[in-house]
Amino acid sequence: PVPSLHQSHLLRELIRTIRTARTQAEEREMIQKECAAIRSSFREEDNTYRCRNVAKLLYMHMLGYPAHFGQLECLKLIASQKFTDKRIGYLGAMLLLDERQDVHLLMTNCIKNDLNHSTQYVQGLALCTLGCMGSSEMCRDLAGEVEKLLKTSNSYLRKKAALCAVHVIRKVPELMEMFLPATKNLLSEKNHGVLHTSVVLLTEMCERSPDMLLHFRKLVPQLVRILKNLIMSGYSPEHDVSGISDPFLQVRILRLLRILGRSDDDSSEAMNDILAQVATNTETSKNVGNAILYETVLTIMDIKSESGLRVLAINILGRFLLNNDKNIRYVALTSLLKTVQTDHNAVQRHRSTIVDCLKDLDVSIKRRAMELSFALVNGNNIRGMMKELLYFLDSCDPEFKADCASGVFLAAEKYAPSKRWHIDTIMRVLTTAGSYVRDDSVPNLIQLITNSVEMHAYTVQRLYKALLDDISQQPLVQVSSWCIGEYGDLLVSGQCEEEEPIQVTEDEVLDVLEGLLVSNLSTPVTRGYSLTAIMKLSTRFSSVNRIKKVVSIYGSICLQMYSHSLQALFCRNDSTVVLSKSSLFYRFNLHVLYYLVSLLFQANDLLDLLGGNDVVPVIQTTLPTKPASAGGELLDLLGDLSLSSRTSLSLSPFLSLTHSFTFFLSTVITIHATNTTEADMTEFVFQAAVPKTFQLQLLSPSSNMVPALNQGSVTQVIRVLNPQKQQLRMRVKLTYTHKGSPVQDLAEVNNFPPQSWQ
Amino acid sequence: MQFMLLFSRQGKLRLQKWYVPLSDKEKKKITRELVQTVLARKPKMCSFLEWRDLKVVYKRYASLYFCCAIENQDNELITLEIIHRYVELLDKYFGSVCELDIIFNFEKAYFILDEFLLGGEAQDTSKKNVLKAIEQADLLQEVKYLTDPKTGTSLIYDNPDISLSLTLSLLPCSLCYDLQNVDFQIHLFPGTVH
Repeated sequence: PVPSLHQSHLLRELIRTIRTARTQAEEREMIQKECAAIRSSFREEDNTYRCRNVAKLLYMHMLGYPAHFGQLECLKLIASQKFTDKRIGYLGAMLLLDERQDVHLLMTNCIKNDLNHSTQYVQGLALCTLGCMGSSEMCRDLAGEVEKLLKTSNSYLRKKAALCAVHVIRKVPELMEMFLPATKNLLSEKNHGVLHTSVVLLTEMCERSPDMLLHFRKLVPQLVRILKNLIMSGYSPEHDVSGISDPFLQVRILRLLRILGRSDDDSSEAMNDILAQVATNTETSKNVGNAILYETVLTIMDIKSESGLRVLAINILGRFLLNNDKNIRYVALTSLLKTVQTDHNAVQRHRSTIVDCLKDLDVSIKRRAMELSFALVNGNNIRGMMKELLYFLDSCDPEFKADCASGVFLAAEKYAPSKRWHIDTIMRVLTTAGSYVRDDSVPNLIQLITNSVEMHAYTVQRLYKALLDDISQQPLVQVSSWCIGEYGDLLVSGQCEEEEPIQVTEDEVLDVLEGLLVSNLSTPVTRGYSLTAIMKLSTRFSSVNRIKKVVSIYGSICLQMYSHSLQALFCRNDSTVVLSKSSLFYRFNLHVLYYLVSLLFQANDLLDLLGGNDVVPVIQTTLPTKPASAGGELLDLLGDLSLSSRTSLSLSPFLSLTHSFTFFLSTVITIHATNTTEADMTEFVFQAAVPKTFQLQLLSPSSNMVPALNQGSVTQVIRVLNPQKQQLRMRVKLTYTHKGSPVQDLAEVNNFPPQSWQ
Repeated sequence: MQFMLLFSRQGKLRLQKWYVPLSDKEKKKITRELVQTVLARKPKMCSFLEWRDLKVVYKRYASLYFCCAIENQDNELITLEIIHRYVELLDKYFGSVCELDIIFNFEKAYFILDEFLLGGEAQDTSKKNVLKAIEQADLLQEVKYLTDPKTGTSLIYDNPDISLSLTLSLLPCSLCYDLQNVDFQIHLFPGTVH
């Protein structure tokens, strides 16, 4: 049974009780009960228990339960004269209220009063709350009070007012000006709290306003002096952290100096010595010293420092790389990455250390080391660096492989010492990380191989051998297929000079390529590549019949897959291409289709392509381009055809056959049905019959309803196989329902243009 | 600093301090995702990670993760020191702090944090000063009214000497919110009653 929770129970007891819940459900029950009790207590306006109840509510809120009904109660607590109430009230406000709610504005008056309270701890609460969550309106209303407190001699309040002012400025930048007078002697303070928060305030102002920046530049000597005192002064127990005096203040001063010295020669010069001093004298055995060095390095790199100082900074980073602490190594790599362009030579000196970081266990460190390594590759170190990077590619996590592979390709392209080296490097990447290589690398690699004319034989041989081992990595398979299609003749004639030529027959090559076509591992794009390779080999190999058979089988499968896409392409009425539903499939296959079709339609006589005529058509080896625009190009291509591919036959007022073209031994016809009557034609079915020597295949229609008044159409693709090249005739039957009654229509089509079946 | 989260190894939230305005829903989402990400980290990994467009600095102390989200221009290494300073403050205040202390006295953990950081930045770099302020504020809780209900004059003086005598005359007692209607006698000077 759930223990009853009396509202007089202490906060700690509630926490203890809730923690005894064994299940989420049990906890929820307890919470609901307690919330109900708290709610009724709130309704009774009970001042006595309000504080405790809000505290309980805040605990439950942290567990994830709603507590919005306590918002107003927080306001009441803030207005109370008891410190306990105020403390919890302000805490509640910071946790439960946010500036989006109008309720929070009700706080403004309370905060105003408390900012002027006689007790500094109450003023402190108000400043803290305003500085943490004050909205723009609140900040506008109370900026004056904050400014007043910024000028007080009470350092407890002054330091808080400074940070509160930072928040006000962030919320209402226009108010920045009003704080300017109060900043006059902020840095003369001895109190470190005030100094620290003042530096933060000055930093905020300088970052936001170029005028302020100009104005505060004159503070550089004072800041330098303060920093110097911190370093030179003896042990100060109050601010010491591991032997360093107030590292927090040191870091903030260094950051402000950075902003002030940026793009200003004089200021940069004025801080030169102190930066060198900090850089050389800071104890590096603990994190705190390294934090200061890190900030120093950032400052040196950002201001107009002399080259000696810059080298000093980079060397600090180099030492960081050797630090046992991985956090230090991490910031070093991040900083080096930022500076590698501007201080390239200095960073180069640490190249070997950076490369060692490739073996680090931390993922972020590895990634940075990789990026940095690629940035450091040049003509002199390419061989050594590539060795390391390829080794990294072999063993790194999958999340790195794609980027690393791309990086290797880029670097190889820029700095390859020889063509052979270049091809070998590409091979290495394709064989070890082939499945992670980006899709767009494939055309680039193909281009590269094409251009390395003297390496063709070597390349195709190596790629062929790679295929024998492994056909799972698609980019490798695609590049290899393409190569074999192009240079298969070199392969079978054993012309390789670079290495021992292998003995392979045409049939063996075709076995491999056909294997790719049927394999489950091959994607549709890969199948396209292997099919085109086979087709290309018809002009290079002598086993044409085998090729013919393969192409006719797989060619028609391809066509079936594409027919809906074709349908979409051709049945458009305006200039935009309508994509079929499986547009991804469509995109990937379209560029293959483009290749196929371009290949076929280049030939003057389709069938001669496979018939082994004297005139061997030149097959243009155009590269598959990015699929995105392939649609448009395809249509342009078809527009240039000598074969008339667009014919229009009207069978009846509302039915026309359009866009037929021959593909191998079959004719593809698209039926386009429109309806000019006032009523829809439903249950529309198109049937066709052909003479015995033909074969007919109907693909599914787009729909079975032809809308009235030309509001839409039904399209259907049919394929007619005409092996004996006889004159195409067709009997057509239409059945549909019109205005409630069934209709049947018969027609005979005898006037197909000769090109469609010859 | 944009926010600080304290959570256990099981992912239970023990403290959440937000220095940027976000809806409750967004806070919950961020908390859930970040906690998951940090808990998935292996011990050999460094204390920093990039998350969304922020840098996250985290460190584990016993069973609690201290996790801060800082901006790009902030120094990660000094943030580790900030976290450490906060832990030291908690440790001094509770006397060898453990997770249970923070669970049962979460409001005090907030009070200490709010005395150390304001708007995400350190207010005071002296441990001593922060602890002293907390101590004084705690004492203030023992007083019934801050101002005289009839005259409105302040009953509290920010004079360190007087605070000292307050300490002497009061018995140390834990802060509980149920001691009501008990009149405290505040001895400002030995022998007199205010």
